[in-house]
Amino acid sequence: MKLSFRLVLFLNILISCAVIIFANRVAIQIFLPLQIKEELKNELIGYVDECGQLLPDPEDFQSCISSSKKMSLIKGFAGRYVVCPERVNVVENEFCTPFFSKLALWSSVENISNKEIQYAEIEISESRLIAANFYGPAKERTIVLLSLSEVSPEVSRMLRTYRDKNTIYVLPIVLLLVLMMTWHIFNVAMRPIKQINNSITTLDLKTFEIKTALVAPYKEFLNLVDSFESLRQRLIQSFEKARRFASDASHELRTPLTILRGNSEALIKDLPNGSDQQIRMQMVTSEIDRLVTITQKLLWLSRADANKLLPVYQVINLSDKLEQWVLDAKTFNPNIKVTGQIQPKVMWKCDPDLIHQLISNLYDNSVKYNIDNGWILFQLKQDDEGIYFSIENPSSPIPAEFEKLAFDRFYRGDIARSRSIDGLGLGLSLCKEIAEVHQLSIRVKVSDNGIVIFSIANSI
Amino acid sequence: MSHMNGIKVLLIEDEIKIADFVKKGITDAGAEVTHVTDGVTGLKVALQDAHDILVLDIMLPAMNGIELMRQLRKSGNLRPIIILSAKVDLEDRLESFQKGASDYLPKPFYVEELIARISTLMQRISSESSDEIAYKNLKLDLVSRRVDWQGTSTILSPREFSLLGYLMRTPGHIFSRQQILKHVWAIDFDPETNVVDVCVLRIKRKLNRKNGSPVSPIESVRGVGYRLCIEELE
Repeated sequence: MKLSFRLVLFLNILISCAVIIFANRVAIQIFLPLQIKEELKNELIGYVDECGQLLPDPEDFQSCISSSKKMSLIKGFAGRYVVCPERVNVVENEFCTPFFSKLALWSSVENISNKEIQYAEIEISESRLIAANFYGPAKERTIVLLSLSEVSPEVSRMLRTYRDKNTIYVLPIVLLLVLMMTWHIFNVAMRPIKQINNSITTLDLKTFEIKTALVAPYKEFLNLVDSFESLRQRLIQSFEKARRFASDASHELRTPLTILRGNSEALIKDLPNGSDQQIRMQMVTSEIDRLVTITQKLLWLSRADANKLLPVYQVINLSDKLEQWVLDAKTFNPNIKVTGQIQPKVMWKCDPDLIHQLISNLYDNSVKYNIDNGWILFQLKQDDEGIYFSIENPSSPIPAEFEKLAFDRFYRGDIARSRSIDGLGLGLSLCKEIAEVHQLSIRVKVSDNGIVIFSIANSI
Repeated sequence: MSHMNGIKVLLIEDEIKIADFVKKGITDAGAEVTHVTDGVTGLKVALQDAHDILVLDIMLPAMNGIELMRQLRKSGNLRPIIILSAKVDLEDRLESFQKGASDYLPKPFYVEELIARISTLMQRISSESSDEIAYKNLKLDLVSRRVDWQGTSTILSPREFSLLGYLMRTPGHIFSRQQILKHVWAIDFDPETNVVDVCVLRIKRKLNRKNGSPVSPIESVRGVGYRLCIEELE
């Protein structure tokens, strides 16, 4: 069971988004107090600048802040401002004292209208205070201060609450977006792969020729296309070598085979009739004949591999041909009951030699793998759909993979048998090639009760 | 053996080992053989001497068989030529026929088949009727499939006819069951059959039915095959 690439991509994008969201929260966690401090500082200075002339009266100052048009998150904290006039008894608020002492380092503030306003920060017993001082018309000094330790956690709690609330609403949207992104990225990423794949699937397995040109859609795919192309070239070369070898070998074998056969024939003629030597020589000749047949089959197969098994078409009466096969087959093996269900007058355009070879191989097979006192059934019919031809016979137990491998070269279905059967496993693969050049489909089916049916059809 | 007597064969074949047994086979059949090993000499000999028939290999040193044939035909020489070749493709065969070959025998071949083809070609150009094959007192009518022997006349089935005709083409030569199967039934595998023996037996029965003689024109050679018995026909 293979995982879906789409699913993997979706999960990866989801994880990436989760990591981004988490990182964002961590960043907020770290930077929020600093930002809040900066915000509160700017607001404090801004309000002192705007409403400072109402100081040192804290109530006037606060109502001025409340009515200010400035946008502020923490206007609500205006009540937390502590106003410390210089002339007032400073003991009223313990936080005021340090700002009047030398502990406070005042610095001037830029970008405000009142250049006299200064800013300072102090930490007293783990609470951080910020302050701005203001000089009235009589140079009387008032300090406005705010405890960050008091306000800041409240602000950040508030912001976090908003953030978490929002996350709940946003999460489904984020998920949906991720899903859509996955879909889109998947399609974009797969498009070039699909293009290449489409080209590869048009590869002709006989010639390794690609019908639609293989082009890399993006530069990242150049390597893939190059590798495939070099692989294809190597395949073409080695396939061509193998094919040429079979073809050359079967040609080269002809001369020695001719010499062997010629001499063995001459020897048979010279030896006394019926002598043991003559009989032995006859056995040698039979084996030479077998070699000749194998050589011929190899040559046919190598030609088929090169797409050079070219049929020489002729219209024949297939019914008559098969009837003759049935008649002959009846006389060949009296122990096998041969019957034919042959529709008469089926005329067909084919290569008679190749078709003869095809029927011959199938018949040979049906005899070799038949059971004792078995039978063979030839069938031929023609209708609007085309020609259907089959040979069936009962068979002794057949390996399970037979249906799949029957037409493979050098496959012999009798490995599991004790009976040894002549043959190299070339016959059926040749049948397949002959069927293919005639645009026929050839199939083999083994029924549950051990009946093997080879069928050939040219259904349109 | 009389059917090849006096025929002069020019064999042009560079492979000595092939030429050896071809020469032997043809000489045994009663014909005369001149053998040359290259194309140029072959053409010279073919143009000078009066041979009845040429047996020509295609792959030859100095000049290939096809070119030799072309030049020979150009010079007006119309004697029959049988091509021997390791090339079995249709194009090669067609090219040979276009360039003037009378027959084409792919390697590996049976010498007996070569002899039979030479004999058939010679018969065709002589005035002999081609409707009948005859050997001594055994006659086979090619049209009606009637066989006449020692006063018996009978019609053979197509397979029986083909078998007897095959044996009659080279009298005395022993044909294996496999060769007979391939020629008569056109199968090149062993169908685990005794059909050849059955067919021979039927021919023998048909020929012996009337005169009651146990003598037969077909002789069985134990473990090897069958032949047309030339001694019985003397």
